Amino acid sequence: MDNMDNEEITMLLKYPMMRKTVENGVDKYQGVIDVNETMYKVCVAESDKGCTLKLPSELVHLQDDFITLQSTLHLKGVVSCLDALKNLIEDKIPSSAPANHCDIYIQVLFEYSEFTKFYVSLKSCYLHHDLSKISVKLLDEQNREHSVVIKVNYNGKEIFEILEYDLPVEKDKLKSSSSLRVVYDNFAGLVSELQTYFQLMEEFDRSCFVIDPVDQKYRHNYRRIWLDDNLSMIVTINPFRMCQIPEIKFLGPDSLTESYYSNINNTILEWDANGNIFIEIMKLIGLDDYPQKPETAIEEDILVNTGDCCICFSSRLNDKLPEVVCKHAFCGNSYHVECLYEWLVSVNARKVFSNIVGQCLNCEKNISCPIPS
Amino acid sequence: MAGMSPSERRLQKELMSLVKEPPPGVSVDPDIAERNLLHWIIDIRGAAGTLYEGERFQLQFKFSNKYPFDSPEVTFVGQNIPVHPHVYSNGHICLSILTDDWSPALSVQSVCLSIMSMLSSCKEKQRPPDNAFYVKTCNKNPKKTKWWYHDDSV
Repeated sequence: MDNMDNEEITMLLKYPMMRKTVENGVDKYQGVIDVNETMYKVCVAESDKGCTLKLPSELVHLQDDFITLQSTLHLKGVVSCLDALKNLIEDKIPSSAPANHCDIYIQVLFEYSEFTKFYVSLKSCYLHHDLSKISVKLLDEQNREHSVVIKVNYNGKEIFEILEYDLPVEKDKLKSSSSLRVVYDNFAGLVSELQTYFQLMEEFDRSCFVIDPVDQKYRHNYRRIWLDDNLSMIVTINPFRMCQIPEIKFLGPDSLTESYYSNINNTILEWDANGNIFIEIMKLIGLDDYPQKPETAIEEDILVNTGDCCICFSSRLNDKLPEVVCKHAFCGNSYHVECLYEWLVSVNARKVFSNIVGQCLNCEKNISCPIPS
Repeated sequence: MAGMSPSERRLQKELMSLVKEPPPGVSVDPDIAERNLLHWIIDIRGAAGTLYEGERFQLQFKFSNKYPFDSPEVTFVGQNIPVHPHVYSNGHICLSILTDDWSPALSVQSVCLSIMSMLSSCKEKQRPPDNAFYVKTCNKNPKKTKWWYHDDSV
């Protein structure tokens, strides 16, 4: 046996399952290397020009990557080649060995037990058996129930983050943290900040004929309220600026909406930011009471009911009610934005900024439809 | 009606309405239509007091999956094709709402009523003047014909 050179000794220390042979004057190294507890069979031929590598079938897709790596790093010698290959495999092939999450498990269990001891007033609190999430139900000042699901994030620094919730709040307003209490306190803080908002929405649901949303949740910060057969209004509330005048939009023919808009213009200066918001909104639009749900049941047999979209002949499309209403007196036909847009595009209607303007299918007068995003 | 496209939902709704409350003189075979929602056969009867009184005709409706943005293809089929200045002997109908003037707000029901009224206002039973030439040269699909709508009286 030839004497071992330094290179070979270094290799054997790092990759003990590789063997050197000499074939036709070329040094060849064959064997297996162990990356992330998986064995890969490799063969390296070393010549004056450098190393050429033969990869097993499961690694063939890395061949091009390796060649690029080889030329950029000017790899010389079998050890540096094998090192580069090992790094490449670690990089590209996810480890199949389960990651060790014991530390996080301990932290989750500790945080959870502290949490349940600290907040005795929770309605319910439940840690899923696989420690993946925590479901909490809390009662607010008015005994409303709020549910929140907190996910355990095993790959991040902040291991607790809110997964499911029902508040009119963007996700980025919710804190993630490595402390369960911080996450919860932030959520409970939002709930208590939103008390006047919940109260107002409940008032709408109690006193008005709300046609949308049908199944009202806390996260729905708008109400579409029935005023007449072809007239409704959408009130959109800014939950964190309750004293501000909300956005109000009337849907219906101009002849009916005009008087409401002029009412608003006349009363807008009387808006009292400190008053009861529900009553202030009624004063603003000039109503003493909201009209109640009409007694006459909607007939299912009629092909197109009032308020249905005249294109798809139904009221809900992807859960949305028709939002474009022809503004012309005696027409007031309704359309879903998507339906009307598709039709107006097909007849090459004019696009004006973010709207498309064409003819109402019913009265043939101008109608404008926002271009859906 | 879950799992249906808006187009299928609308056709289903139109079919139900036409079966339950058909306009006078119009009837649809729900079995044929339900087997294939895109292909309907509708029976119409000539109205009393018109040149077509007592006659029965069959209309074929073919819908594309772009309905109602796309108009249906409507032709007379069967043994009896009405003799009318706007109806060719191959069943094709010259009626503007079936092509250029189509609007998604129209429905199978309104198309049937338009055709009934077209028949009812006829004063003399005759084929269109270019019938022989048209029937020989036309496309099978009447929507491919470039129609000239010149006569509004019938």
